[in-house]
Amino acid sequence: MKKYNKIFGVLVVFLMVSGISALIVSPAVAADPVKVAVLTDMSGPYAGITAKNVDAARMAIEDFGGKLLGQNIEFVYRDHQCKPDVANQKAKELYEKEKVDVIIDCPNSAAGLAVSNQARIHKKLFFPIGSGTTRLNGSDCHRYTFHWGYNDYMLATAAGLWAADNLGKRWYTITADYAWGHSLLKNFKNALKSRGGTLLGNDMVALGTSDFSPYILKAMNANPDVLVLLNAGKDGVNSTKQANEFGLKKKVKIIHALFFIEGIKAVGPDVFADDYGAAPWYWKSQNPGAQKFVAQWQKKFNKPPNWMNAATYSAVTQYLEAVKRAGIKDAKPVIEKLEGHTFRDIFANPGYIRPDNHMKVADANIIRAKRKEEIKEPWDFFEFVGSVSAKDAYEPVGKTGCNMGGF
Amino acid sequence: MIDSAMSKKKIITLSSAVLLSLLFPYLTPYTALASEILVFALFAMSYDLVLGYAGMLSFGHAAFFGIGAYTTGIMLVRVYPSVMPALLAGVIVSSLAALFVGYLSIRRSGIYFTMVTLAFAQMFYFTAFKWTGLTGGDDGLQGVPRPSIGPLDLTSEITLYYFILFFVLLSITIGLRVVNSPFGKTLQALRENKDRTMSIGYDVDKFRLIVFIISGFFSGLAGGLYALLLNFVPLSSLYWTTSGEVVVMTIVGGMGTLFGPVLGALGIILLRDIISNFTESWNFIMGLIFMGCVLGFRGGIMSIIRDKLKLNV
Repeated sequence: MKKYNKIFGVLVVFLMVSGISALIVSPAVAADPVKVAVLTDMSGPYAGITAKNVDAARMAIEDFGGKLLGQNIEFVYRDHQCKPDVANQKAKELYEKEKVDVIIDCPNSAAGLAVSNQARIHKKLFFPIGSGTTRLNGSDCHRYTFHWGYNDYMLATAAGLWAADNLGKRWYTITADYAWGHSLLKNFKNALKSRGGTLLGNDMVALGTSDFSPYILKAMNANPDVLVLLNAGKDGVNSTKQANEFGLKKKVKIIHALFFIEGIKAVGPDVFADDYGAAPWYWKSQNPGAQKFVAQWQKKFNKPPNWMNAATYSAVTQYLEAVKRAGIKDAKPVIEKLEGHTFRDIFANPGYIRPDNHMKVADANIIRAKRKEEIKEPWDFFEFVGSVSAKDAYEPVGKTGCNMGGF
Repeated sequence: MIDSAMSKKKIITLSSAVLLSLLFPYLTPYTALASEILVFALFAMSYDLVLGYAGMLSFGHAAFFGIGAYTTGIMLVRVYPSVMPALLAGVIVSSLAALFVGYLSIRRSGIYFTMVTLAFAQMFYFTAFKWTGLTGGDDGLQGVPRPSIGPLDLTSEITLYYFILFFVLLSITIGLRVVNSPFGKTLQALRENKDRTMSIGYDVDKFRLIVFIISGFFSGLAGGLYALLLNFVPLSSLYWTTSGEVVVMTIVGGMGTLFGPVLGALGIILLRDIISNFTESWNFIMGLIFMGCVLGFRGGIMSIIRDKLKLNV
């Protein structure tokens, strides 16, 4: 009797929950209008940087006029919580149930690769922005994925080449000991080698290390011109703070792998003052339309956009433009319109979509973090100090390991 | 007479439960979500064997789930693209891992047992994290294919759902058989009073080890199916948060009931998916629900069903 009751109970709850979920789900929409989706981290560790990409995409659609192929452009977004498995499931939902034509963003490399695979399976477009892995335009590339924004090769190579030319050729590196750090190190080393520099030493440091003093001391003893810190987040802050405490900055310039305005805001301008890094974009950019976009953003959110917001805006705009040029929203003609296309917008001036590996390339900016006394307006944390041409900053054609394949 | 009437009822309810699970993917927001619920239902059920029936709070079950997923994935990607051998390899390797971890950790009980299992699971996690060549490291094991089995085209989400459902129903049947057998009764006895069970003459450690391996077997199966579902294996499948998740599902559902964890998985995954579409603070709401469960009704969803609907005799 007891067992029977249990089974009955299971049934009741099953029915109730299923009923509720069926009610909540909106009825299916006609597949006709162009539908854009943003899949990003809105509640995980990157949320502070990426959550507003949703607003950036909305703005891009509004600025485009909101209409395409005679119908209103539709928009949805999903939170992938910075979990690759959730991203993968949400991508399926977006492509299958929501019938979106394109998914934009998706920070976290594992998530980016997983969604890219779903894009290939579903034969729909995907524009990764926040995931930097070069596999997206190397071994795992395919027709349906367009890598917007940046990749790890570009971050390391652009900063490396510029630093070797302008800051000095004797380097020391401290690397976070996992795949991302290793891949950056490899590219930094190659950049240095191509400029005839020497690497005095490298330390592999476990992720989450809090005491960097032994490595900083080793670096100081080597007496380099440049210290390259290949870490991010908390590790980046800790290692930089300790380098400051040891007075390393008086003699040595520091290069970082990745900079965000939100990162500087969080720890204050003193920590990263006078450090360098490569950036795809910064809100003082003079690209066409950039200042209008920034003003609009400032008014809405009372802070300037970061480069991921700008990249999202750009990706959505260029996708919609491509659909307009193709006159149809089917994946194949739109992809053909995107491949090899050159454009100028807020994010890239000019930007070029490489047909060989689907990387959107543009000249890379080198930025320097301002000292406290140099900062005249809120959030103006960086200064443009140089740029590296798209040709040098990205993998040479034929060296990417990408075999594009068919549709 | 009563017996035959009851078995008739039982057959009716069981067949309607099966019917409902057949219709389930059409009731969830999207098919892949239904499959995910099934996978975690299986995982939670296998965990309940250890927690609910044997009273062992393992905090390292992600290890068996993840090892099953990685083994199945690696078999499909690198060895031989055929589903059944890959799943078989997954359950074998995860059972062996359970034998290894279980053999070394069942000597301890209570918090020590929990900590030892957690430590082993983290060891597996960091091995996968570092062994990039085999597992893909941080990027996860990408590009797991779903080769067809004869006429079964598993690339279709709905076919895959029924494929997973088959294994889940099979596992629940076996699980029910296990807990209702003398072996299962012995487990419950040692959960209630280990010393007394021992004094009757049972080899307690042997029972604990066997149930741990059975649980590892089904966790590995769930992991293997997860790899198929996702087309890749996320590194997080080995992480302690996955162990935590299955503990929560089991407790919210009602431990020691086998069906409770299935409901827990259903409720938590469905709610998380729906709430996270509306608010970024979904974690907060899930936390409140969990606190409510722990404070308000310790027996989980199953106990509410029993109490409110007065189904219990």
